[in-house]
Amino acid sequence: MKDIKKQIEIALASIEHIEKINAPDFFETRLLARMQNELIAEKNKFIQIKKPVWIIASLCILLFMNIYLVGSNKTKIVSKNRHEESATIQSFANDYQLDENTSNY
Amino acid sequence: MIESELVIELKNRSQHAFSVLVKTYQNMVFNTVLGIVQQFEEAEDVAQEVFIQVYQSIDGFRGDSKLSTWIYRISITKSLDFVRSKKAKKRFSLITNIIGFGDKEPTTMAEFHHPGISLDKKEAAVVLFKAISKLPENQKTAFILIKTEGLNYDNVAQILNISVKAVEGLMHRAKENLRKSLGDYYGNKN
Repeated sequence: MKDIKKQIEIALASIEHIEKINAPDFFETRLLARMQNELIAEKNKFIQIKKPVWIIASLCILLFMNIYLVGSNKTKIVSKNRHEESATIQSFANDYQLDENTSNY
Repeated sequence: MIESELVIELKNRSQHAFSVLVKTYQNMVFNTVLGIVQQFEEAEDVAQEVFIQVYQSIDGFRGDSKLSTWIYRISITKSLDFVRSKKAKKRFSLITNIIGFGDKEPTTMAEFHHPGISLDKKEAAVVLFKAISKLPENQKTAFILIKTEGLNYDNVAQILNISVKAVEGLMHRAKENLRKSLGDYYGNKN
């Protein structure tokens, strides 16, 4: 037990008076090289987006979206008109008391 | 170049100012990062990330604290992020290995031999650094800053943005936890 306590104290004291170490050699050179590479990579990412293939693809997507939206709007209008038309016929029939029995005459 | 001039020059993206900054703070950053990360090659990578972050965020530095305090904060955040992501990767590889999808053996943390420790204390320091790595983040940070960086409680309080009393509390709890951890280690060994 006493031995363990002694070992603990030795371990805790081992970090006292620790010598500060220098950064690795050519740290700054490597850092600048990395920053330059990351900067170039970032630039290339933007250049990729500016390629004609991407521009044409994005325009095509926009065009298809427009076509789809116009198409779906048209269908909605047609079905709405049909609904209104049938409602008018029904109200006309009701006004003149035209039902299935009348049509038999 | 005085600090305020250096900050202005850095905000103007002066390459000379950045070079002065790196030369002035590279040892401080590297030592802090090494204490937390506990791996030499990885510490260099993290230290580089610290300077990249400083370069990118210098416009946000308002001068409320000293430049060194601000750089210390970035160093600590980056180092703790690195340790966290490494632990997550280790956990993931362990799970994939259990399920049977993993193709690699889970990596165990290598012993850390701090280059700044004298030869006669090396063996004890390896055990101590292993115990430090198991401490909660705030206790670990306070312990590293005080013991390896040689900062006083006042400086650490400023860096961690807490009171001096809180730093004292962190150090007390850190020492307690280290004693317990070292006790378990030596108890099992003997």
